[in-house]
Amino acid sequence: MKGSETKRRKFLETVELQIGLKNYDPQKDKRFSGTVKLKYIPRPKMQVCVLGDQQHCDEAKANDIPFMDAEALKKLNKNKKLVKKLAKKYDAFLASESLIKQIPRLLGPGLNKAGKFPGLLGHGESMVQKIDEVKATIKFQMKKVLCLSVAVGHVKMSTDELAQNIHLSINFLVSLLKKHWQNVRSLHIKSSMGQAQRLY
Amino acid sequence: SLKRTCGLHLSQSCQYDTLAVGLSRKELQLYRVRESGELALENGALGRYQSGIRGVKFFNGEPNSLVCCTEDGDVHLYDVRSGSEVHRFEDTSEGLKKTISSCDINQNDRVLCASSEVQKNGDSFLLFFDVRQRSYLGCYWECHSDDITHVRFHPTNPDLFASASVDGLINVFDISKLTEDDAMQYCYNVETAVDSINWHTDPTGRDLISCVTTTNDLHLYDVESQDSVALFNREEITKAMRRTSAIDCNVVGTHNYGNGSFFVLAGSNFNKGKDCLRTLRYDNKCLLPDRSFAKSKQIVRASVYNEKDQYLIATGESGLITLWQCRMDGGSDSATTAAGINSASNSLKQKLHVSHRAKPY
Repeated sequence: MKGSETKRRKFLETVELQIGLKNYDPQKDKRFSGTVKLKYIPRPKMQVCVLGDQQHCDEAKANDIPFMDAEALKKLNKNKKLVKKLAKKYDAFLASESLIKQIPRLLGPGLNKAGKFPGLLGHGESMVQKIDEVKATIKFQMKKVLCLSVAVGHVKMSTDELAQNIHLSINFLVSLLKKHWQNVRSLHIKSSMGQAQRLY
Repeated sequence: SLKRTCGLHLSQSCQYDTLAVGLSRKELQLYRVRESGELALENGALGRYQSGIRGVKFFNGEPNSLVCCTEDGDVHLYDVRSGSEVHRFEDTSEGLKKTISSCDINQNDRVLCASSEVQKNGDSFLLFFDVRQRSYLGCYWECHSDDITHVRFHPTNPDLFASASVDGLINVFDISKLTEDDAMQYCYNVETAVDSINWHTDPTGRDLISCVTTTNDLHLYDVESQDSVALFNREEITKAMRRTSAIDCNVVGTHNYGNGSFFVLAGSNFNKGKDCLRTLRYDNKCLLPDRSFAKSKQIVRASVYNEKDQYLIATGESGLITLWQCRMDGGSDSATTAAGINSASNSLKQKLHVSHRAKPY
Protein backbone atom coordinates (compact mmCIF):
# COMPACT_ATOMS: atom_id res chain seq x y z
CA MET A 1 0.00 0.00 0.00
CA LYS A 2 2.85 2.33 0.86
CA GLY A 3 4.51 1.64 -2.43
CA SER A 4 1.52 2.78 -4.39
CA GLU A 5 1.34 6.00 -2.44
CA THR A 6 4.85 7.06 -3.26
CA LYS A 7 4.47 6.61 -6.99
CA ARG A 8 1.15 7.74 -8.46
CA ARG A 9 -0.16 5.46 -11.16
CA LYS A 10 -2.75 6.28 -13.78
CA PHE A 11 -4.73 3.15 -12.97
CA LEU A 12 -6.08 1.54 -9.84
CA GLU A 13 -3.50 -1.04 -8.84
CA THR A 14 -4.73 -4.48 -7.91
CA VAL A 15 -3.45 -6.24 -4.83
CA GLU A 16 -2.69 -9.92 -5.41
CA LEU A 17 -2.19 -12.80 -3.07
CA GLN A 18 0.53 -15.13 -4.33
CA ILE A 19 0.57 -18.62 -2.94
CA GLY A 20 3.45 -21.04 -3.40
CA LEU A 21 2.64 -24.72 -2.84
CA LYS A 22 4.70 -27.69 -1.74
CA ASN A 23 4.13 -31.46 -1.47
CA TYR A 24 1.66 -31.18 -4.30
CA ASP A 25 2.00 -32.97 -7.62
CA PRO A 26 -0.16 -31.45 -10.40
CA GLN A 27 0.13 -34.73 -12.32
CA LYS A 28 -1.23 -36.87 -9.50
CA ASP A 29 -3.16 -34.72 -7.08
CA LYS A 30 -6.68 -33.48 -7.63
CA ARG A 31 -6.95 -30.27 -9.60
CA PHE A 32 -6.62 -27.21 -7.41
CA SER A 33 -9.12 -24.62 -8.60
CA GLY A 34 -12.38 -22.95 -7.67
CA THR A 35 -14.15 -19.71 -6.92
CA VAL A 36 -14.65 -17.86 -3.65
CA LYS A 37 -16.70 -14.84 -2.71
CA LEU A 38 -14.76 -12.15 -0.85
CA LYS A 39 -16.22 -9.69 1.63
CA TYR A 40 -15.08 -6.53 -0.16
CA ILE A 41 -15.07 -6.01 -3.91
CA PRO A 42 -11.52 -6.34 -5.28
CA ARG A 43 -12.35 -5.01 -8.76
CA PRO A 44 -14.82 -2.16 -8.37
CA LYS A 45 -14.66 -1.19 -12.03
CA MET A 46 -16.08 -4.50 -13.21
CA GLN A 47 -18.97 -4.02 -15.65
CA VAL A 48 -21.93 -6.37 -15.40
CA CYS A 49 -24.78 -6.46 -17.91
CA VAL A 50 -28.20 -7.89 -17.16
CA LEU A 51 -29.98 -10.02 -19.79
CA GLY A 52 -33.42 -9.71 -18.32
CA ASP A 53 -37.07 -10.49 -18.52
CA GLN A 54 -39.48 -7.56 -18.21
CA GLN A 55 -39.20 -7.35 -14.44
CA HIS A 56 -35.43 -7.49 -14.40
CA CYS A 57 -35.07 -4.97 -17.21
CA ASP A 58 -37.25 -2.54 -15.25
CA GLU A 59 -35.16 -3.08 -12.14
CA ALA A 60 -31.93 -2.61 -14.12
CA LYS A 61 -33.22 0.61 -15.66
CA ALA A 62 -34.17 1.95 -12.25
CA ASN A 63 -30.70 1.19 -10.91
CA ASP A 64 -28.70 2.48 -13.86
CA ILE A 65 -27.47 -1.01 -14.71
CA PRO A 66 -26.83 -1.88 -18.37
CA PHE A 67 -29.37 -4.41 -19.65
CA MET A 68 -30.73 -6.17 -22.71
CA ASP A 69 -34.04 -7.94 -23.17
CA ALA A 70 -34.89 -10.97 -25.33
CA GLU A 71 -35.80 -8.76 -28.28
CA ALA A 72 -32.45 -6.99 -28.19
CA LEU A 73 -30.69 -10.36 -28.10
CA LYS A 74 -32.76 -11.67 -31.01
CA LYS A 75 -31.68 -8.62 -33.03
CA LEU A 76 -28.10 -9.89 -32.90
CA ASN A 77 -29.36 -12.68 -35.13
CA LYS A 78 -26.78 -15.10 -33.74
CA ASN A 79 -24.14 -13.13 -35.67
CA LYS A 80 -20.82 -14.32 -34.27
CA LYS A 81 -19.12 -10.95 -34.66
CA LEU A 82 -21.89 -9.10 -32.86
CA VAL A 83 -22.01 -11.63 -30.05
CA LYS A 84 -18.24 -11.39 -29.67
CA LYS A 85 -18.54 -7.62 -29.53
CA LEU A 86 -21.18 -7.89 -26.83
CA ALA A 87 -18.98 -10.28 -24.85
CA LYS A 88 -16.07 -7.85 -25.04
CA LYS A 89 -18.15 -4.92 -23.89
CA TYR A 90 -18.84 -6.33 -20.42
CA ASP A 91 -16.83 -8.24 -17.83
CA ALA A 92 -19.74 -10.48 -16.83
CA PHE A 93 -23.41 -11.14 -17.46
CA LEU A 94 -26.39 -12.08 -15.35
CA ALA A 95 -29.57 -13.47 -16.88
CA SER A 96 -33.14 -14.11 -15.77
CA GLU A 97 -34.15 -17.76 -15.59
CA SER A 98 -36.35 -17.59 -18.67
CA LEU A 99 -33.59 -16.00 -20.74
CA ILE A 100 -30.66 -18.04 -19.49
CA LYS A 101 -32.29 -21.19 -20.84
CA GLN A 102 -32.46 -19.67 -24.30
CA ILE A 103 -28.91 -18.37 -24.54
CA PRO A 104 -27.61 -21.16 -26.82
CA ARG A 105 -30.58 -20.69 -29.13
CA LEU A 106 -30.51 -16.88 -29.08
CA LEU A 107 -26.79 -16.27 -29.21
CA GLY A 108 -25.04 -19.51 -30.09
CA PRO A 109 -21.79 -20.40 -28.27
CA GLY A 110 -20.25 -16.92 -28.42
CA LEU A 111 -20.57 -16.18 -24.71
CA ASN A 112 -19.30 -19.69 -23.89
CA LYS A 113 -16.18 -19.10 -25.95
CA ALA A 114 -15.55 -15.73 -24.34
CA GLY A 115 -15.84 -17.28 -20.88
CA LYS A 116 -18.79 -15.01 -20.16
CA PHE A 117 -21.81 -17.24 -20.04
CA PRO A 118 -24.29 -15.48 -17.74
CA GLY A 119 -24.87 -16.39 -14.14
CA LEU A 120 -28.42 -16.93 -12.95
CA LEU A 121 -30.35 -13.92 -11.67
CA GLY A 122 -33.27 -15.05 -9.58
CA HIS A 123 -36.34 -13.10 -8.62
CA GLY A 124 -35.94 -13.40 -4.89
CA GLU A 125 -32.73 -11.41 -4.63
CA SER A 126 -31.78 -7.76 -5.08
CA MET A 127 -30.11 -7.16 -8.43
CA VAL A 128 -27.59 -4.72 -6.96
CA GLN A 129 -26.67 -7.24 -4.30
CA LYS A 130 -26.26 -10.02 -6.83
CA ILE A 131 -24.04 -7.81 -8.98
CA ASP A 132 -21.90 -6.97 -5.97
CA GLU A 133 -21.62 -10.70 -5.34
CA VAL A 134 -20.37 -11.25 -8.87
CA LYS A 135 -17.85 -8.44 -8.46
CA ALA A 136 -16.66 -9.90 -5.16
CA THR A 137 -16.13 -13.40 -6.53
CA ILE A 138 -12.64 -14.45 -7.56
CA LYS A 139 -11.53 -17.51 -9.53
CA PHE A 140 -8.26 -19.32 -9.10
CA GLN A 141 -6.57 -22.23 -10.79
CA MET A 142 -3.27 -24.01 -10.30
CA LYS A 143 -1.82 -25.34 -13.49
CA LYS A 144 1.59 -26.89 -13.98
CA VAL A 145 3.68 -24.52 -11.84
CA LEU A 146 3.37 -24.72 -8.09
CA CYS A 147 2.30 -21.14 -7.56
CA LEU A 148 -0.77 -19.13 -8.26
CA SER A 149 -1.92 -15.59 -7.89
CA VAL A 150 -5.37 -14.20 -7.04
CA ALA A 151 -6.63 -10.64 -7.03
CA VAL A 152 -7.83 -9.95 -3.50
CA GLY A 153 -8.18 -6.19 -3.50
CA HIS A 154 -6.97 -2.84 -4.74
CA VAL A 155 -4.73 -0.12 -3.32
CA LYS A 156 -7.57 2.22 -2.38
CA MET A 157 -9.06 -0.29 0.07
CA SER A 158 -8.51 0.21 3.78
CA THR A 159 -5.92 -2.06 5.38
CA ASP A 160 -8.66 -3.68 7.40
CA GLU A 161 -10.77 -4.48 4.33
CA LEU A 162 -7.74 -5.86 2.52
CA ALA A 163 -6.78 -7.93 5.55
CA GLN A 164 -10.26 -9.44 5.73
CA ASN A 165 -10.20 -10.35 2.05
CA ILE A 166 -6.75 -11.88 2.39
CA HIS A 167 -7.81 -13.84 5.46
CA LEU A 168 -10.87 -15.23 3.69
CA SER A 169 -8.91 -16.19 0.59
CA ILE A 170 -6.14 -17.92 2.51
CA ASN A 171 -8.57 -19.91 4.63
CA PHE A 172 -10.50 -20.99 1.58
CA LEU A 173 -7.43 -22.02 -0.41
CA VAL A 174 -5.99 -23.92 2.55
CA SER A 175 -9.31 -25.73 3.10
CA LEU A 176 -9.05 -27.15 -0.39
CA LEU A 177 -5.51 -28.43 -0.06
CA LYS A 178 -5.24 -32.07 0.95
CA LYS A 179 -2.73 -31.39 3.74
CA HIS A 180 -3.88 -27.82 4.35
CA TRP A 181 -1.03 -25.68 5.72
CA GLN A 182 1.48 -28.46 5.05
CA ASN A 183 0.91 -27.85 1.36
CA VAL A 184 1.71 -24.13 1.63
CA ARG A 185 5.30 -23.15 1.03
CA SER A 186 4.89 -19.36 0.96
CA LEU A 187 2.43 -16.48 0.84
CA HIS A 188 3.09 -13.05 -0.58
CA ILE A 189 1.01 -10.00 -1.30
CA LYS A 190 1.86 -7.65 -4.07
CA SER A 191 0.35 -4.59 -5.68
CA SER A 192 0.52 -4.45 -9.49
CA MET A 193 3.52 -2.20 -9.61
CA GLY A 194 4.94 -2.75 -6.17
CA GLN A 195 7.24 -5.21 -4.49
CA ALA A 196 6.08 -8.54 -3.17
CA GLN A 197 5.81 -8.74 0.60
CA ARG A 198 6.06 -12.08 2.35
CA LEU A 199 3.27 -13.08 4.72
CA TYR A 200 4.23 -16.68 5.39
CA SER B 1 4.48 -40.23 -0.39
CA LEU B 2 4.71 -38.08 -3.49
CA LYS B 3 6.57 -40.95 -5.07
CA ARG B 4 3.86 -43.55 -4.44
CA THR B 5 1.93 -44.81 -7.43
CA CYS B 6 -1.72 -43.81 -7.44
CA GLY B 7 -4.61 -45.52 -9.14
CA LEU B 8 -6.39 -42.73 -11.00
CA HIS B 9 -8.68 -44.32 -13.59
CA LEU B 10 -10.92 -47.38 -13.63
CA SER B 11 -13.12 -49.05 -16.20
CA GLN B 12 -14.92 -52.35 -16.09
CA SER B 13 -15.81 -54.36 -19.19
CA CYS B 14 -19.46 -54.88 -20.10
CA GLN B 15 -19.23 -58.50 -18.99
CA TYR B 16 -17.74 -57.34 -15.71
CA ASP B 17 -14.93 -59.85 -15.79
CA THR B 18 -12.13 -57.44 -16.65
CA LEU B 19 -10.98 -54.26 -14.97
CA ALA B 20 -8.67 -51.69 -16.52
CA VAL B 21 -6.67 -49.46 -14.19
CA GLY B 22 -4.80 -46.29 -15.15
CA LEU B 23 -1.87 -45.60 -12.83
CA SER B 24 -0.10 -42.34 -12.09
CA ARG B 25 3.19 -43.87 -13.22
CA LYS B 26 1.80 -43.78 -16.76
CA GLU B 27 0.86 -47.42 -16.95
CA LEU B 28 -2.35 -49.15 -17.96
CA GLN B 29 -3.02 -52.48 -16.25
CA LEU B 30 -5.63 -55.20 -16.61
CA TYR B 31 -7.14 -57.28 -13.82
CA ARG B 32 -9.48 -60.21 -14.00
CA VAL B 33 -12.46 -59.96 -11.66
CA ARG B 34 -13.27 -63.44 -10.39
CA GLU B 35 -16.67 -64.63 -9.20
CA SER B 36 -15.32 -64.69 -5.67
CA GLY B 37 -14.65 -60.98 -5.92
CA GLU B 38 -10.93 -61.56 -6.10
CA LEU B 39 -8.90 -59.38 -8.41
CA ALA B 40 -6.08 -61.04 -10.31
CA LEU B 41 -3.47 -59.13 -12.26
CA GLU B 42 -3.70 -60.18 -15.88
CA ASN B 43 -1.53 -57.70 -17.72
CA GLY B 44 0.76 -55.46 -15.70
CA ALA B 45 1.69 -53.29 -18.65
CA LEU B 46 -1.00 -53.23 -21.30
CA GLY B 47 0.17 -49.71 -21.98
CA ARG B 48 3.26 -47.77 -20.95
CA TYR B 49 3.30 -44.12 -21.89
CA GLN B 50 5.45 -41.01 -21.99
CA SER B 51 2.71 -38.82 -20.62
CA GLY B 52 0.01 -39.19 -17.99
CA ILE B 53 -3.15 -41.22 -18.52
CA ARG B 54 -6.26 -39.05 -18.71
CA GLY B 55 -9.02 -41.56 -19.38
CA VAL B 56 -9.69 -45.27 -19.62
CA LYS B 57 -12.90 -46.72 -21.06
CA PHE B 58 -14.06 -50.16 -22.08
CA PHE B 59 -16.51 -50.33 -24.96
CA ASN B 60 -20.17 -50.58 -23.97
CA GLY B 61 -21.06 -53.66 -25.99
CA GLU B 62 -17.72 -55.21 -26.78
CA PRO B 63 -15.98 -56.78 -23.78
CA ASN B 64 -12.50 -56.98 -25.29
CA SER B 65 -12.03 -53.47 -26.63
CA LEU B 66 -10.77 -50.59 -24.57
CA VAL B 67 -9.58 -47.02 -25.20
CA CYS B 68 -7.03 -45.10 -23.21
CA CYS B 69 -6.14 -41.46 -23.75
CA THR B 70 -2.98 -39.75 -22.59
CA GLU B 71 -2.14 -36.13 -21.90
CA ASP B 72 0.10 -35.71 -24.93
CA GLY B 73 -2.88 -36.20 -27.22
CA ASP B 74 -2.88 -39.89 -28.09
CA VAL B 75 -5.95 -42.08 -27.96
CA HIS B 76 -5.04 -45.76 -27.93
CA LEU B 77 -7.34 -48.64 -28.81
CA TYR B 78 -6.54 -52.05 -27.30
CA ASP B 79 -7.69 -55.58 -27.78
CA VAL B 80 -7.35 -57.11 -24.33
CA ARG B 81 -7.20 -60.66 -25.65
CA SER B 82 -4.00 -60.07 -27.58
CA GLY B 83 -2.87 -57.44 -25.11
CA SER B 84 -1.83 -55.19 -27.94
CA GLU B 85 -2.61 -51.73 -29.21
CA VAL B 86 -4.63 -52.16 -32.39
CA HIS B 87 -4.97 -48.52 -33.34
CA ARG B 88 -3.96 -45.03 -32.36
CA PHE B 89 -6.54 -42.39 -33.22
CA GLU B 90 -4.99 -39.44 -34.95
CA ASP B 91 -6.21 -35.90 -34.48
CA THR B 92 -5.96 -34.40 -37.92
CA SER B 93 -7.56 -31.11 -36.92
CA GLU B 94 -5.77 -27.85 -37.53
CA GLY B 95 -2.93 -26.74 -35.35
CA LEU B 96 -0.66 -28.51 -32.94
CA LYS B 97 -1.54 -31.76 -31.18
CA LYS B 98 -3.87 -30.99 -28.33
CA THR B 99 -3.33 -31.95 -24.71
CA ILE B 100 -6.10 -34.36 -23.82
CA SER B 101 -8.03 -34.31 -20.56
CA SER B 102 -10.74 -36.96 -20.84
CA CYS B 103 -12.40 -39.41 -23.24
CA ASP B 104 -15.57 -41.45 -23.61
CA ILE B 105 -17.28 -43.67 -26.15
CA ASN B 106 -20.95 -43.48 -27.08
CA GLN B 107 -23.66 -46.03 -26.32
CA ASN B 108 -23.31 -47.98 -29.57
CA ASP B 109 -19.49 -47.84 -29.58
CA ARG B 110 -19.39 -45.93 -32.83
CA VAL B 111 -18.25 -42.50 -31.74
CA LEU B 112 -15.31 -41.67 -29.51
CA CYS B 113 -14.84 -38.25 -27.99
CA ALA B 114 -11.67 -36.84 -26.47
CA SER B 115 -11.63 -33.47 -24.74
CA SER B 116 -8.71 -31.11 -24.53
CA GLU B 117 -7.28 -28.61 -22.12
CA VAL B 118 -7.34 -24.98 -23.16
CA GLN B 119 -4.65 -24.48 -25.80
CA LYS B 120 -2.29 -21.54 -26.17
CA ASN B 121 -4.67 -19.71 -28.50
CA GLY B 122 -7.50 -19.93 -25.96
CA ASP B 123 -9.45 -22.73 -27.65
CA SER B 124 -10.67 -25.90 -25.94
CA PHE B 125 -11.61 -28.83 -28.10
CA LEU B 126 -13.97 -31.77 -28.20
CA LEU B 127 -12.48 -34.15 -30.76
CA PHE B 128 -14.69 -36.81 -32.34
CA PHE B 129 -13.55 -40.05 -33.97
CA ASP B 130 -15.39 -42.72 -35.92
CA VAL B 131 -14.49 -45.91 -34.09
CA ARG B 132 -15.24 -48.35 -36.93
CA GLN B 133 -13.61 -46.28 -39.66
CA ARG B 134 -10.88 -45.37 -37.17
CA SER B 135 -10.93 -41.84 -38.56
CA TYR B 136 -11.16 -38.32 -37.24
CA LEU B 137 -14.68 -36.90 -37.63
CA GLY B 138 -14.35 -33.31 -36.55
CA CYS B 139 -14.41 -31.16 -33.46
CA TYR B 140 -16.31 -28.66 -31.42
CA TRP B 141 -14.25 -25.73 -30.22
CA GLU B 142 -16.54 -22.85 -29.31
CA CYS B 143 -18.40 -24.11 -26.30
CA HIS B 144 -15.78 -23.88 -23.56
CA SER B 145 -13.19 -21.28 -22.66
CA ASP B 146 -10.97 -23.28 -20.30
CA ASP B 147 -9.77 -26.86 -19.66
CA ILE B 148 -12.51 -29.38 -20.35
CA THR B 149 -12.31 -31.77 -17.42
CA HIS B 150 -14.81 -34.49 -18.27
CA VAL B 151 -16.87 -35.79 -21.18
CA ARG B 152 -19.68 -38.27 -20.79
CA PHE B 153 -22.00 -39.82 -23.32
CA HIS B 154 -25.58 -40.63 -22.35
CA PRO B 155 -25.95 -44.28 -21.25
CA THR B 156 -28.72 -45.16 -23.73
CA ASN B 157 -29.01 -42.38 -26.31
CA PRO B 158 -26.04 -42.67 -28.71
CA ASP B 159 -26.41 -39.05 -29.85
CA LEU B 160 -26.48 -37.31 -26.50
CA PHE B 161 -23.33 -36.15 -24.84
CA ALA B 162 -22.21 -33.76 -22.09
CA SER B 163 -18.97 -31.91 -21.40
CA ALA B 164 -17.77 -30.12 -18.28
CA SER B 165 -15.04 -27.58 -17.77
CA VAL B 166 -13.03 -25.47 -15.38
CA ASP B 167 -14.96 -22.54 -16.91
CA GLY B 168 -17.96 -23.63 -14.82
CA LEU B 169 -20.14 -24.79 -17.69
CA ILE B 170 -21.75 -28.10 -18.51
CA ASN B 171 -22.80 -28.35 -22.16
CA VAL B 172 -25.19 -30.96 -23.53
CA PHE B 173 -24.96 -31.80 -27.21
CA ASP B 174 -26.92 -33.79 -29.76
CA ILE B 175 -24.12 -34.96 -32.02
CA SER B 176 -26.50 -36.03 -34.78
CA LYS B 177 -26.82 -32.35 -35.73
CA LEU B 178 -24.58 -30.98 -38.45
CA THR B 179 -22.90 -28.04 -36.76
CA GLU B 180 -21.64 -27.25 -33.28
CA ASP B 181 -24.16 -24.41 -33.02
CA ASP B 182 -27.06 -26.72 -33.76
CA ALA B 183 -25.68 -29.55 -31.67
CA MET B 184 -25.51 -27.47 -28.50
CA GLN B 185 -28.79 -28.20 -26.72
CA TYR B 186 -28.38 -26.99 -23.15
CA CYS B 187 -25.85 -25.17 -21.07
CA TYR B 188 -25.74 -25.14 -17.27
CA ASN B 189 -23.62 -22.56 -15.53
CA VAL B 190 -22.36 -24.12 -12.33
CA GLU B 191 -20.40 -20.90 -11.75
CA THR B 192 -17.35 -22.76 -10.42
CA ALA B 193 -14.88 -25.26 -11.93
CA VAL B 194 -16.43 -28.68 -12.59
CA ASP B 195 -14.40 -31.82 -11.97
CA SER B 196 -16.70 -34.62 -13.18
CA ILE B 197 -20.23 -35.26 -14.41
CA ASN B 198 -22.63 -38.19 -14.60
CA TRP B 199 -26.01 -39.02 -16.10
CA HIS B 200 -28.93 -40.18 -13.97
CA THR B 201 -32.68 -40.55 -14.28
CA ASP B 202 -35.29 -39.41 -11.82
CA PRO B 203 -38.10 -41.76 -10.69
CA THR B 204 -40.27 -40.62 -13.63
CA GLY B 205 -37.52 -41.37 -16.14
CA ARG B 206 -36.39 -37.78 -16.79
CA ASP B 207 -32.71 -37.28 -17.51
CA LEU B 208 -30.63 -35.65 -14.81
CA ILE B 209 -27.02 -34.57 -14.83
CA SER B 210 -24.95 -34.37 -11.68
CA CYS B 211 -21.58 -32.78 -11.30
CA VAL B 212 -18.86 -32.74 -8.67
CA THR B 213 -17.00 -29.45 -8.52
CA THR B 214 -13.30 -28.99 -7.80
CA THR B 215 -14.38 -27.69 -4.41
CA ASN B 216 -16.23 -30.90 -3.53
CA ASP B 217 -19.80 -29.69 -4.01
CA LEU B 218 -22.49 -31.65 -5.82
CA HIS B 219 -24.95 -30.04 -8.23
CA LEU B 220 -27.90 -31.76 -9.90
CA TYR B 221 -29.76 -30.52 -12.98
CA ASP B 222 -32.90 -31.64 -14.78
CA VAL B 223 -31.60 -31.86 -18.33
CA GLU B 224 -34.63 -30.78 -20.34
CA SER B 225 -36.05 -28.11 -18.09
CA GLN B 226 -32.50 -26.94 -17.28
CA ASP B 227 -33.57 -26.37 -13.69
CA SER B 228 -31.18 -26.84 -10.84
CA VAL B 229 -32.79 -29.68 -8.90
CA ALA B 230 -30.43 -29.85 -5.94
CA LEU B 231 -27.19 -28.41 -4.66
CA PHE B 232 -25.10 -29.84 -1.84
CA ASN B 233 -22.00 -27.97 -0.76
CA ARG B 234 -19.00 -29.59 0.87
CA GLU B 235 -20.28 -28.81 4.37
CA GLU B 236 -23.68 -30.39 3.66
CA ILE B 237 -22.11 -33.49 2.18
CA THR B 238 -19.80 -33.81 5.18
CA LYS B 239 -22.76 -33.56 7.54
CA ALA B 240 -24.79 -36.06 5.55
CA MET B 241 -21.98 -38.59 5.78
CA ARG B 242 -21.82 -38.06 9.53
CA ARG B 243 -18.36 -36.53 9.53
CA THR B 244 -17.35 -33.22 11.08
CA SER B 245 -14.40 -31.88 9.13
CA ALA B 246 -15.61 -30.36 5.89
CA ILE B 247 -12.10 -29.29 4.91
CA ASP B 248 -11.15 -32.96 4.65
CA CYS B 249 -14.17 -34.16 2.71
CA ASN B 250 -13.25 -35.78 -0.61
CA VAL B 251 -16.13 -36.33 -3.00
CA VAL B 252 -15.15 -39.08 -5.44
CA GLY B 253 -18.17 -39.22 -7.73
CA THR B 254 -21.63 -40.67 -8.27
CA HIS B 255 -22.94 -44.05 -9.43
CA ASN B 256 -26.33 -45.34 -10.49
CA TYR B 257 -27.93 -48.13 -8.49
CA GLY B 258 -29.64 -49.39 -11.61
CA ASN B 259 -33.12 -49.03 -10.15
CA GLY B 260 -33.66 -45.36 -10.88
CA SER B 261 -31.70 -43.90 -8.00
CA PHE B 262 -28.07 -43.01 -7.51
CA PHE B 263 -25.49 -42.57 -4.79
CA VAL B 264 -22.56 -40.30 -4.04
CA LEU B 265 -19.23 -41.82 -3.05
CA ALA B 266 -17.22 -39.72 -0.62
CA GLY B 267 -14.29 -40.17 1.69
CA SER B 268 -11.83 -38.12 3.65
CA ASN B 269 -8.35 -36.72 3.09
CA PHE B 270 -7.69 -36.90 6.80
CA ASN B 271 -5.17 -39.49 7.89
CA LYS B 272 -4.62 -40.51 4.27
CA GLY B 273 -8.27 -41.45 3.91
CA LYS B 274 -8.11 -44.35 6.35
CA ASP B 275 -11.37 -45.87 7.45
CA CYS B 276 -13.56 -43.35 5.72
CA LEU B 277 -15.34 -44.31 2.54
CA ARG B 278 -19.08 -43.87 2.49
CA THR B 279 -22.00 -43.65 0.13
CA LEU B 280 -24.93 -41.27 0.31
CA ARG B 281 -28.14 -42.20 -1.43
CA TYR B 282 -29.88 -39.39 -3.31
CA ASP B 283 -33.58 -39.28 -2.58
CA ASN B 284 -35.86 -36.41 -3.45
CA LYS B 285 -33.41 -33.56 -2.90
CA CYS B 286 -31.78 -35.20 0.11
CA LEU B 287 -28.58 -37.12 0.65
CA LEU B 288 -29.13 -40.01 3.04
CA PRO B 289 -26.47 -42.09 4.78
CA ASP B 290 -26.18 -45.36 2.94
CA ARG B 291 -23.09 -47.55 3.27
CA SER B 292 -19.82 -47.33 5.08
CA PHE B 293 -16.97 -49.35 3.62
CA ALA B 294 -14.88 -50.47 6.52
CA LYS B 295 -11.13 -50.84 6.32
CA SER B 296 -10.72 -48.43 3.41
CA LYS B 297 -7.03 -47.65 3.40
CA GLN B 298 -6.53 -44.78 1.02
CA ILE B 299 -7.76 -41.53 -0.39
CA VAL B 300 -10.02 -42.77 -3.17
CA ARG B 301 -9.67 -41.20 -6.60
CA ALA B 302 -11.60 -43.47 -8.95
CA SER B 303 -14.40 -45.97 -8.64
CA VAL B 304 -16.72 -48.20 -10.64
CA TYR B 305 -19.95 -49.76 -9.51
CA ASN B 306 -21.41 -52.99 -10.84
CA GLU B 307 -25.19 -52.46 -10.79
CA LYS B 308 -25.96 -56.08 -11.59
CA ASP B 309 -23.85 -57.77 -8.93
CA GLN B 310 -23.80 -54.77 -6.62
CA TYR B 311 -20.18 -54.27 -5.85
CA LEU B 312 -17.95 -51.26 -5.77
CA ILE B 313 -14.33 -51.20 -6.90
CA ALA B 314 -12.21 -48.28 -5.80
CA THR B 315 -8.62 -47.21 -6.26
CA GLY B 316 -6.62 -44.25 -5.06
CA GLU B 317 -3.55 -42.65 -3.66
CA SER B 318 -1.96 -45.68 -2.02
CA GLY B 319 -2.09 -47.71 -5.23
CA LEU B 320 -4.54 -50.22 -3.82
CA ILE B 321 -7.55 -51.64 -5.69
CA THR B 322 -10.32 -52.79 -3.43
CA LEU B 323 -13.62 -54.54 -4.17
CA TRP B 324 -16.51 -54.30 -1.73
CA GLN B 325 -19.42 -56.64 -2.24
CA CYS B 326 -22.80 -55.42 -1.11
CA ARG B 327 -25.42 -58.15 -0.81
CA MET B 328 -28.94 -57.45 0.28
CA ASP B 329 -31.21 -60.21 1.49
CA GLY B 330 -34.34 -58.62 0.15
CA GLY B 331 -35.37 -57.46 3.58
CA SER B 332 -34.91 -54.28 5.53
CA ASP B 333 -31.85 -55.39 7.45
CA SER B 334 -29.18 -56.18 5.04
CA ALA B 335 -27.07 -59.25 5.59
CA THR B 336 -24.29 -57.75 3.79
CA THR B 337 -21.01 -59.47 3.41
CA ALA B 338 -18.22 -57.75 1.80
CA ALA B 339 -15.07 -59.25 0.55
CA GLY B 340 -12.37 -56.68 0.19
CA ILE B 341 -9.26 -57.62 -1.68
CA ASN B 342 -6.38 -55.27 -1.73
CA SER B 343 -3.96 -55.60 -4.55
CA ALA B 344 -0.77 -53.60 -4.54
CA SER B 345 -0.35 -52.66 -8.12
CA ASN B 346 3.39 -52.49 -8.12
CA SER B 347 3.86 -56.12 -7.21
CA LEU B 348 2.19 -59.39 -8.02
CA LYS B 349 1.46 -60.14 -4.37
CA GLN B 350 -2.13 -60.42 -3.34
CA LYS B 351 -3.67 -60.32 0.08
CA LEU B 352 -7.10 -61.74 0.73
CA HIS B 353 -9.13 -59.90 3.33
CA VAL B 354 -12.45 -61.34 4.41
CA SER B 355 -15.44 -60.04 6.29
CA HIS B 356 -15.20 -56.38 5.53
CA ARG B 357 -18.69 -55.23 6.19
CA ALA B 358 -20.42 -52.76 3.96
CA LYS B 359 -23.06 -51.75 6.41
CA PRO B 360 -25.56 -48.91 6.65
CA TYR B 361 -24.68 -46.24 9.19
